[in-house]
Amino acid sequence: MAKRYAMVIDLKRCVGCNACTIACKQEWKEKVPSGEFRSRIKEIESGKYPNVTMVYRRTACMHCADAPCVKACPVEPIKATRKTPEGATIIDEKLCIQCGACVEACPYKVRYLNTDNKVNDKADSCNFCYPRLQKGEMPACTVNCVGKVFTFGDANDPKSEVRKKMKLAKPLKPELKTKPSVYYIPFGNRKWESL
Amino acid sequence: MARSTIYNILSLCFTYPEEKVCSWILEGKWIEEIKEALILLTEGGFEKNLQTMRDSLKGEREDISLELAREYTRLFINAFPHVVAPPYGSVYMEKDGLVFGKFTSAVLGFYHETGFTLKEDLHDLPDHIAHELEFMGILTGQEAGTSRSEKVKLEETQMDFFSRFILPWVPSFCQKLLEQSRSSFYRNLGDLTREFIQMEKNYLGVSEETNSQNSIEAEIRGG
Amino acid sequence: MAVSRREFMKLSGAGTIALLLGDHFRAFEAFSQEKGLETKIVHTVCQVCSGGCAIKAHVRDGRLVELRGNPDDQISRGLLCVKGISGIQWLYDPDRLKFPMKRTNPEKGIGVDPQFVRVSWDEAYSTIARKLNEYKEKYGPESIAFIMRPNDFSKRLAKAIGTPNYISHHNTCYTTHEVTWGAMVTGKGRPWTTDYANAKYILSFGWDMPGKAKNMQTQHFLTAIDKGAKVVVLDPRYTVTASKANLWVPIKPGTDLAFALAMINVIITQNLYDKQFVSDHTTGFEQVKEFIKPYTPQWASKITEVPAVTIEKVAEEFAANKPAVIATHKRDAAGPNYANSWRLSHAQIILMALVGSIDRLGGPIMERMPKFPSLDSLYPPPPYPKPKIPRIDGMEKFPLLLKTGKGSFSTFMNGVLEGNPYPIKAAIIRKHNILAFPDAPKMVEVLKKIEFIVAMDIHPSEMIQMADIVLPDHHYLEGSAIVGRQYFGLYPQIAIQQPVVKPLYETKGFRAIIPDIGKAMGLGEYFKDVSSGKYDDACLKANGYSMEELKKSPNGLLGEPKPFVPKTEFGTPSKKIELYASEFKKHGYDPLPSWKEKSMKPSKEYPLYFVTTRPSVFIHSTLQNLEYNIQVYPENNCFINTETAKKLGVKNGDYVMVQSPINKIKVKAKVTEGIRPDTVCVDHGFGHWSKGMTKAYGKGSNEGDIIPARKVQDMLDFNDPAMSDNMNDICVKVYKA
Repeated sequence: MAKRYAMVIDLKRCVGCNACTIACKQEWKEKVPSGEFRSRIKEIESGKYPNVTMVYRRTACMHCADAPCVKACPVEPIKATRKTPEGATIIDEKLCIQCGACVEACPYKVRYLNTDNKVNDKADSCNFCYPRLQKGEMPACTVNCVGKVFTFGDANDPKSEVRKKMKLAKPLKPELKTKPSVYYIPFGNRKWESL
Repeated sequence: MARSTIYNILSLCFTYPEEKVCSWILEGKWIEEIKEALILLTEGGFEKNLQTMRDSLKGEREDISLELAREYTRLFINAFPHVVAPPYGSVYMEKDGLVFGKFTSAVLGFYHETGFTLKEDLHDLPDHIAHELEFMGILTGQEAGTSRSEKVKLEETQMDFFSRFILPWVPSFCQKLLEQSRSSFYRNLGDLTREFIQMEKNYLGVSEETNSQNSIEAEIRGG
Repeated sequence: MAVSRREFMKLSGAGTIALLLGDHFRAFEAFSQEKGLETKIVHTVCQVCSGGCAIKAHVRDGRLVELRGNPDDQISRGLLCVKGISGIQWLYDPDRLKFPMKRTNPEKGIGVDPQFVRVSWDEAYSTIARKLNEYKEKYGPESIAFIMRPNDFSKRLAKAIGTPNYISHHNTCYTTHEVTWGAMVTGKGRPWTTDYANAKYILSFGWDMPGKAKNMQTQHFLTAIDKGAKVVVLDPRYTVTASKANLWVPIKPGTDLAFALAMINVIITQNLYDKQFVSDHTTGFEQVKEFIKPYTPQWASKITEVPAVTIEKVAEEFAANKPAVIATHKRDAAGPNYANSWRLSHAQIILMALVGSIDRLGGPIMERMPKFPSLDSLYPPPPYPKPKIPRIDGMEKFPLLLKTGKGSFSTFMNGVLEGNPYPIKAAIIRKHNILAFPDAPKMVEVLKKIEFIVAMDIHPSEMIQMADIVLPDHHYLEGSAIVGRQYFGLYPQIAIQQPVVKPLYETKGFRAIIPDIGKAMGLGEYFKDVSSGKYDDACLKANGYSMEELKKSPNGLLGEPKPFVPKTEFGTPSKKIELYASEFKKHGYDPLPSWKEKSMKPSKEYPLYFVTTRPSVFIHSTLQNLEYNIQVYPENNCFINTETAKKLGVKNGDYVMVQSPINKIKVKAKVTEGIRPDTVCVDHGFGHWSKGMTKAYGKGSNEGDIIPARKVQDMLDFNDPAMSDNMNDICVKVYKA
């Protein structure tokens, strides 16, 4: 059966250190201009002193199965923003016409349009480190996480870790109906879903 | 040989002016040599640069030596406010502005493929401007006493190195010298180098396509 | 494209190049295959912090491309933290110090251009030797100060010169822990390993290592939580650790001691302590039992602003859930933060002894490091001159700290400024930045008084800008050493540190520089045959290994797992844990942690408490020049409670002034519900004024500017054996900038 990439993020374990942010920047320095990020940590504070909660949520492309960005891409016959067979959302720089439609369309607001002329002027977003996956390596963000927050793998494999973890997890804002491939294990009932 | 002479002289000018190099600079014989070499290659236009450089070296030897050392350190090594013109190609060619990027490995790889490497006790990076210029000096120096067909082959190699590893960044580097050098010696050196690079570009027949940023980036990404 | 080597050698005719300095290639030579670009994995050790995580460094075509943790290492366990992975950016930062340099502008100060000129190592050494010998002759060896972390090599040089002034930063760091554990438990040193993963109850007094993503501690802490451990955090601020806890207690700053004393009271009066452990392994219980009587939860409640029932509950749970541990490291509340912090450390040790967790799985573990013989024992030096003169920092007045050899920043500063009892004329400084000192602007004045400064570092920090001679240190990824597993070691294990790539530029290793300076000064007899390579090999041999073996080790590590055998004897004269510290009594300190308040209390003019922390992506003031890290966290913040901010008319993102009695700084406000209304927190590491740090320059402010540099008399008045610099013991006012 074909692979279907999925990622589960354990919010209980994340300490918001930004190792994933920096690992991504170091890996993709040739695509991501200064001040932009493919992966970020959002700090979600809730409650009133002294009954406070804080959740650190890694936010990046959700690799939606029903991706609004893909739908919005006007390029034909092959779209610049499209899905790989394994379900990763990628951007083909050679085809991208910099219209920005995909950036507008993303309900999770994780895309951006490169305006830094040192890097190509294209739409950009996390691609699950697709080139690394093809070489048998894991996404850069997952490699050195001291919280062991990430589980990444093939959701179609019934024996995979990610499949097990998905049972405890849910996507961010499922009501958006985009069918993300990134899932979160909530931290108790702490607030975590602010965009 | 003229081209080789010019490359080697420029390379030395971009080397730290410690005692030996400084004496050589102050002695000034190199100004005549580079002038003669340039005359062989072009209609001139370097008189002014060279004259200014010669003038800038007049004065008390100790004072000039200190000035050159200070300015060199300020421009290229560590400075206050900060290094003005980092002399390493990687800083200009890599998106993160760090030294020893893929560009540097590619430069070193090219040296190796042509049968050269940097000496073990050498304490600076492969893509330092002085090393790259000296390398071009070696490549151009090989032409002496060769047949026409051998010369063509050698010039292909020169074109390859020049278009991939010198042209993409040295003009930007020279621009910084022109704009920010406090010493007329290094400012004019920057101007002279920039002009010479332009001459070489024409001589070696580097097309605009070969020159484009994209192809260089492809080179780096392909590494 | 490539000319074949054979063709080339025919054509080149070496010597045809009109080179005026010689007829050989200056920088180039013929290539041979062994010198090709390598792709390999190199084992070494990270030294961004003192954790020492063992690394697998991935090198491709001669350049470092990725850093990963070593899975067989007890410390890193296959992972590296956010700072560790940033090491690549640091190694290849174009702003790094590259060559020795000398200052040509005699003027020194903030914003002054040193007008550095590159010099050769020989010239640097001969200048250093000449100047130091001049000062030694004219003003006495004591006029030369060493400011660096303790190291056998540099200590030898200092002793050979005959100066008593070996200064380090530790009284801003962890001397409170060091002195209490040393006196009560170990005889020397504090335990660095804590077995959080096996703890059932983790109590934090201001400890927030997960907030700094400290590798080994965060991993183990999260494991404990997964296993169902209960976590209680006492902290004026809702830290990352607090966010994972079962209970956050926003305790009043500087009152943790009262809470701890009340816990002891509850545990003893309700008979909840581990009687076996107490009787077998401790002394002084009866004195504690008597002493603790007045320190009831009700008493503590008034001081801490924590309900008495909460104090009781925590005490009961701490005793009932074994193993229970109190999390400490350096700058938690028991670090040198307040005048009463050393007492808190004492109380914490009593608590852990009462529940039987000292050197037990789940608790603080005494050192299981390989024993490395001292340099002096392996290479006996000629007799050292005996300094007949006291230290400039007054440490002789604090004998328990004196024997650790660590400290004291603030009193050094004041001693130099006052020229009391003698002037300091020269200093050799390594890896300490001005921004680390309390009252950093004062430190600039201190440095102006020191005529000759040699500074060694990796980056052009603020300290470098004040130097006369600059020496470029190896980056840790270029250095060589052997490193025991100190920050987490249940069994002795040694990691190799070796160059990942050929050292860049003309950097040198510290343990090579020191003997060179010694020899240049004419003190070669102290450094005969002394080399770091030989010393490391001898240390390995003393443990039954060799350098060859370590280099051949397939994972860069030596040391087989051994079963953990809990200690039944400790490093005190009685061989037991001394709850009533006879060492303290002997030297005139309180042998039991009597309640004392923090030193500065809120007033009308300075109404707010002040605490500090550090962002996860930086280590102190060193990594702000890394491109991606500074993008993630561009400046520091003043964390302020929502209500307090409203009263001050401050919105999130506004700039505020944070002012103490000595100084004021401008910081960006971060408004949060997660801090006491009467407290603000400003994080450390910013305010760089060295423009050499091109990406860090001008961002944020240095909170150390508002912390006063304590005097010896202050510390005598506090009767503090650890000479704490009381880094949070101020109060401030905050207003819109």
